[in-house]
Amino acid sequence: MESVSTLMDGELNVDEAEGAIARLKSDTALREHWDSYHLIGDVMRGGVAGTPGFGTRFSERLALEPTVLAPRSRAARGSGRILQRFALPAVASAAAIAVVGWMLVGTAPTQDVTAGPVAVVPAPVAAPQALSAVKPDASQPLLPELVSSEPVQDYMLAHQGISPTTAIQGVAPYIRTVSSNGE
Amino acid sequence: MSDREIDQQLVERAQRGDKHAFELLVAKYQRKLIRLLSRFIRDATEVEDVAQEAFIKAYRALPNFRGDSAFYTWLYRIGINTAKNYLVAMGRRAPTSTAMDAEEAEDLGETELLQDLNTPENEMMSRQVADTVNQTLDKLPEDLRTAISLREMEGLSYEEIAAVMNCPIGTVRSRIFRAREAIAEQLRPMLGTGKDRRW
Repeated sequence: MESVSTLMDGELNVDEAEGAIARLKSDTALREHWDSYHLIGDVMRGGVAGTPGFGTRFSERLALEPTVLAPRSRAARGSGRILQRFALPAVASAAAIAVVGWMLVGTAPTQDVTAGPVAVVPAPVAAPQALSAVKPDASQPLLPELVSSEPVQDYMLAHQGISPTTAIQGVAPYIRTVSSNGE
Repeated sequence: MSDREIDQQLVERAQRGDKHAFELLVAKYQRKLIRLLSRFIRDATEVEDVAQEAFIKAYRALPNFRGDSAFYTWLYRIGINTAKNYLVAMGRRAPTSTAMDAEEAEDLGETELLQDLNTPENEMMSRQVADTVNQTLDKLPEDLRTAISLREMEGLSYEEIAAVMNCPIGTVRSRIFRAREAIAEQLRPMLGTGKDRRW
């Protein structure tokens, strides 16, 4: 009961007030206190006591009204709007940058070490993706002749799917591991 | 949470379909609205009808309430318009727009109003309620009476009351609650319980 008294004086913090309002909604005894405390205040301020049964009659009318459903008000959205407008896009951008960066870092050393030799290879027109999918050993750079030889091209083309330069680099091995554990 | 924020909370709950929340607002503002409407309409029955209509209009208009103004200002505006429309429909002259607006309505003098508004039965019950409140208030211990008077009549915050009464805020909270409970206890036989006689 004391929480109702404190609530109507505006002296509860936000969490306490929301809890008190929620209890008011479901507890008839608390609602009677809410009614009588407001009546006392109005009478003390020199106002009228009102009309007996006004609340009951209004409740009966209200029960006949279709329930309104409205979007959240502007004032209520205050802090939420700031979060929506600035924080969430910022977090999303940071996440996107992190993902792209992670993918680039994963592929960058491969390209740095061998970009020169591989780039100058006159690759066959039919297998350009195979060349970019190769991950050469840095200590033993692939010779242009070896890379461009037909068996190697066929091999690389056949194994392109498990190349670490695919879009899900790093994830595919993990998926395979999980699958095997499931079996 | 301030008074206005509490209203906003209740409005938002009502906007999400919680009719009980709107009933709490009605319980809070019905006497203020009736007092305001009595400036326009003198007959007690008509005042109540218009007040009920104004609350229903406010409920229907809840989706349009964005919280740009205080709920009571918005409600009073609806009440004034409802009263004017009612008078026009009844072929009576409505007061001019400058005679009263929602902001002025908050500062209404109360004692001169409604002297002849109530029916004899309602007037008697209202007088009984007022007498019970005042008599119980007079009988309260001084610390309780002072605390609730500073809150209800002077509008001081708990912190200000604590400073005036030189006691902790928790004591102020307790004294005001005990004072209200003491008065409400005396009112209960008059107000009745349950939904049949809710004021």
